[in-house]
Amino acid sequence: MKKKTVFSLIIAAAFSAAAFSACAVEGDLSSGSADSTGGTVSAQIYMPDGAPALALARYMAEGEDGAEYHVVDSSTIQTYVTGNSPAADLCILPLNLASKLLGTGETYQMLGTVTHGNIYMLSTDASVQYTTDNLSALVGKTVGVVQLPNVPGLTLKVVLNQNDIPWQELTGDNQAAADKVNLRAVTRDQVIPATGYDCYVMPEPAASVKVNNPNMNFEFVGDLQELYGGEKGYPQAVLVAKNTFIEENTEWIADFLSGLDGAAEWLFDADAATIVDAVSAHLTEGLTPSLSTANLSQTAIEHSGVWFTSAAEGKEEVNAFLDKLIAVSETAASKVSDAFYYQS
Amino acid sequence: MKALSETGKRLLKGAFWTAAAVVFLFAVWLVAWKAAGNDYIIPSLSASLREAGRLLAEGAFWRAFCSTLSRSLTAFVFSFFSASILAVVAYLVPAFGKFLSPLVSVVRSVPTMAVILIILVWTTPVKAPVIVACLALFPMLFSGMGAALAAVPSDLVEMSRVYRVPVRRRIVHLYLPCAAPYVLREGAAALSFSLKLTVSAEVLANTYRSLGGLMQEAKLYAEMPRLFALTLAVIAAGFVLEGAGMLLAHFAERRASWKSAL
Repeated sequence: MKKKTVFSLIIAAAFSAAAFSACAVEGDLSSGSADSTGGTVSAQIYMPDGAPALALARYMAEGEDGAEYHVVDSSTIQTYVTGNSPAADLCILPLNLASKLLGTGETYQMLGTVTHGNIYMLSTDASVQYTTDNLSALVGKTVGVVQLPNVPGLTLKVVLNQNDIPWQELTGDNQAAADKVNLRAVTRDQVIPATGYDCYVMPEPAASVKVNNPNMNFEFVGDLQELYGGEKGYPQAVLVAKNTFIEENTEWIADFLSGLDGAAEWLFDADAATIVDAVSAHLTEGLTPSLSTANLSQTAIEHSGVWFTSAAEGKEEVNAFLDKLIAVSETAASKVSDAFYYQS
Repeated sequence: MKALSETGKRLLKGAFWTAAAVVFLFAVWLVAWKAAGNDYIIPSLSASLREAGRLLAEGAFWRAFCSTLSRSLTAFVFSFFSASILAVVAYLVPAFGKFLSPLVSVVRSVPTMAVILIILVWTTPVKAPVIVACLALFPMLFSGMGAALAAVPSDLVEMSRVYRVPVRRRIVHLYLPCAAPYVLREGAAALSFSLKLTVSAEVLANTYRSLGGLMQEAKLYAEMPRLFALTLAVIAAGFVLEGAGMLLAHFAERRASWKSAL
């Protein structure tokens, strides 16, 4: 009887460990390899679904030589650039996450910024269009913010701090204050007139879907990118590359980066179905795509802030944005070292 | 004395196997961590335990813990009492039981985690997890109580009617002793299930000052040891709640030991 018990425990342990390992190893199965002897480069490129994927949609549609593209769930993107053998040779990820995971520059370097913000303010009352001159008109109002703890909420707080406008988060324990901007976390489904807030902040392409819905009576009343930094917006998602990959494929990297400006312009000429198909064809199996022909309007594409700024050009801007994010929340981002920035 | 030492031996044996199970789970974690080779997929046990220690020293963690516990207990108590009342009525009035049965099936089939998205439109992230937990717990408890009442020996019920035993005595000396152990065991499982449901709903609703909200934040900022530490806290709390319920059921069973003579 005792032998049976011990044997059963060993078998159970082996099966459990195998089950855990199977779940864990999946992300590491495709590891990048690069041919530095003049043969075809094989690059594994990962990006989260949504606006960041638009930055490489053209490459995915036309087929960049030697690159394999993977559009993954945004909540798993960090697993492709971390661990003993990170799967991604190149990866697009949110700047704040990149700063926390890769900020030392030891394993990955930032090649540049690929999106510059896609967050907009909506309201059923379009009589006030919010600019830096009249942002204080938000004081005393309640603003529903989608993803309040994440970049949209953090960026809004940065903007309010920049303009010396006091704010507070409504948590259920406190009441709206007449002398502050009152921020309340909402889900996308709560961005409806019936929720009753003065204004909402949410990212594209969902924002355009709300505005285009005739039953909702929403209009755009503010552009968070403009409120933060004018036409330049703010550095939202960055493209990083593995240091070893950069060393072995300098020319390929230069060619890849030189094509990114054209990739952004291509989005305005291509039809939505082509863009959606290009992204969806590289989506993780079973993942519901966030981009569709229904939500990828010209306005949504314009609002997605897709253009490329090299690491050298954008370094100051990136450092400044990270400092402001850290001032709002110490855990949201980290300072990065100079080694994080790719110098071509 | 002999009975005590036998009880003591049983308790010691139970504690040994429980400890063995915990060690086994930690061993599996170690193997999985080694196989994953990535702390952002499975963090190390030591990092998670260190983070758990830090959590226990944070006031914000205890405030969140108490809020979550209070929500899950509210959902449990509401579900337990409404299930009890309706189960008793269904037992006494079979027609009502037949009427209620399809309604309970509908509630049981509702996809609670998906429904929370609808519920959030109608209510707040504080109340939504309670409602979701109730939707899942009520059918479970109602069915359990119905089964417990149906299991009361019908010959004893008949006998109590024939001898015109007062209703109060029937409830206290017949129905409660027969049904209570089973109901309490179901209740113990439902209590830890309530905690799990509430936390899951809080993650989706991003409820402020909640364990689910803390887990969502840890995930957003890629703090995996913290996420695992919070998960360990929920597991430990569920374990304690279920254990307390089982202990209560055990005492109730011992008090009703006359049943074994049937």
